[in-house]
Amino acid sequence: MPRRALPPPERFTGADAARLAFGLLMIPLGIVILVRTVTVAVTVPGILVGCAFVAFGFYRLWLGWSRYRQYREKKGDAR
Amino acid sequence: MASKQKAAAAAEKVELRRDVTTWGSYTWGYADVGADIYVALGLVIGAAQGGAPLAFALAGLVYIMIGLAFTELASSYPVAGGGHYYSLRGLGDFFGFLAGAALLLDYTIDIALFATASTGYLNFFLPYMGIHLDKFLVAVGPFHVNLLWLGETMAMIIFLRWLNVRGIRESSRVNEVIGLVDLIMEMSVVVFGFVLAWKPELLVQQWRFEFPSARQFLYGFSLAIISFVGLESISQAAQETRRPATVIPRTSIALIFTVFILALGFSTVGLGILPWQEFKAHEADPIAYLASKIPYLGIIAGPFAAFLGATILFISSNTGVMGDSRLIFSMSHFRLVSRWFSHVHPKHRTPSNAIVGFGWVGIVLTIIAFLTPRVLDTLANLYAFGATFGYMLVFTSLIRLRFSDPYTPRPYKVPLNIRWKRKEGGIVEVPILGFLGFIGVSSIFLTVLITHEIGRIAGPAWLVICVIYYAIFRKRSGLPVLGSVPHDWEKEQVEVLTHAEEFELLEQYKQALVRRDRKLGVPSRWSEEV
Repeated sequence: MPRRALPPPERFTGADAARLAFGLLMIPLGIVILVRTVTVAVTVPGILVGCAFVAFGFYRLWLGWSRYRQYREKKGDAR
Repeated sequence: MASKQKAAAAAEKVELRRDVTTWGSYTWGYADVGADIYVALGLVIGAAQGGAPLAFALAGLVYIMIGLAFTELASSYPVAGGGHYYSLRGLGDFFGFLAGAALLLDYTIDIALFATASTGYLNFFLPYMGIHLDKFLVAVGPFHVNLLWLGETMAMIIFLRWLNVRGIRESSRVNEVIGLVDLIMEMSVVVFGFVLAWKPELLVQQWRFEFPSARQFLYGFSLAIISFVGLESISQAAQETRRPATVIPRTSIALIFTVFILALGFSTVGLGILPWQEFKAHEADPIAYLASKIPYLGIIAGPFAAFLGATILFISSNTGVMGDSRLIFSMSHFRLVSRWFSHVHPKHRTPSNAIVGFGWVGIVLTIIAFLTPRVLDTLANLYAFGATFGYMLVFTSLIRLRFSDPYTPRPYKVPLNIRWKRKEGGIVEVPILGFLGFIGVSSIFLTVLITHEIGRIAGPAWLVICVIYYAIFRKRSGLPVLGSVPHDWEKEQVEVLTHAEEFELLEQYKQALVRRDRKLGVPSRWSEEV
């Protein structure tokens, strides 16, 4: 059974904006960790954390963007 | 007399109110899981040394599977009780009790461990006031007890009991505010640590040349699981969560990944800033110590992290009181323990007897732990035992319930399922992740038994005492000890979904039952209602 979606957001909130901002910040941070680790030596923990930050950042961006799109669609329907 | 009995019966029927929102559910879980790192970081790095990030990562993988299993079960069966309830439904009364006893140990340790750790972080400020903690160390026979630390911890536990008897609304609000501030602070320490202070060469050097012995690493790995314990708090709160089938999967999944990243982040940034020996020396306040070492910000970040550490650990301890009381409330409801525990306060509508009763158990455990040389390590040992034992039963129940109860709608299912057509008809989705999770958590449980000197004795002893109580209680009540009391699970599930106002799921459930009865050629008691 698919997961049931929450109703579309009534408005684009501060929390949604924060979600997008966090996502945007996490990706470069992850890349910096990866680059700095690899320049010293290829080590599991550094690579793992770097990749995790990048992946989580993209996930947050995707989540924030989906909610923004839902909000825009709902606003469009209302008109 | 008759009116008194009626009033008493009415009071017993009073139920927990659904007052926890999406954010409340997230922070309830975060308050419990997010706080673990404050305790675990020092203990795990002290044990796993340069291999600490790997210990956190491996334990984290098992935790992700545990989290997904809880997400499926809590959204399908949104009642207070968590692991014990799933074991009860999947494996019967005895195993339901056993899982409950293990989780009770965990929640009670949760109260003691986090109250102790919280006051430990508060004691970070004592030197600023010219007070030295060591001066309060007194010899009690062969033991050495720090009276100030013990007194602070006991005062905190008593305060939490009072707060919880007052009601869920007040304590949930506390979780929400402090949870948010702490989340921002933890992320800030990790991010600023990486940006301003992290030296990858130090991490590489410790990873390559200070990797521990196999036994030490296993000890650290089994302790690392305590950084992730507490996700079941969300399922404990399920009976008080609004629209649980929708809220719980979102809350849990967000929480699983936040906590995983933070644990991995803290251990990696930590070993890239400080040698592991320094974490071992600051076992009681590792995050505050780490924060104080961040250039430019450390002078403020250190005390701020200590203050927030104290507060988040305080609310984590609060979560333990909540979890304990709700779990025993549920166990009492199913006649696994005395009905005395299920008494709901007529005014505040909280399980007051359970809160007060287990508050006392928490105090006793705290005193015993303070008599040992390393308070936090002793409590962490027991914490790991209770959690892993309970989780093994949860995975078994997840698998068993897929077979015995395929009709309950599952708003969320763990990934990786194999569809299996049974001989008697019907399709069962076999959860491969359930089997993998069981193997993972069993390996941690075995590691706990092999490497934890206190956990391997005190943990089983707790279970034995609980089983003796259970046998006596069930015999006295005229109930089977190893067998199960007949339960009308279908009626129970209908009531649960109705109470949760999950009407769409309720309809799906009834339709599934009617289809099953038609197949069997028997009249369905649900056909009129569909």
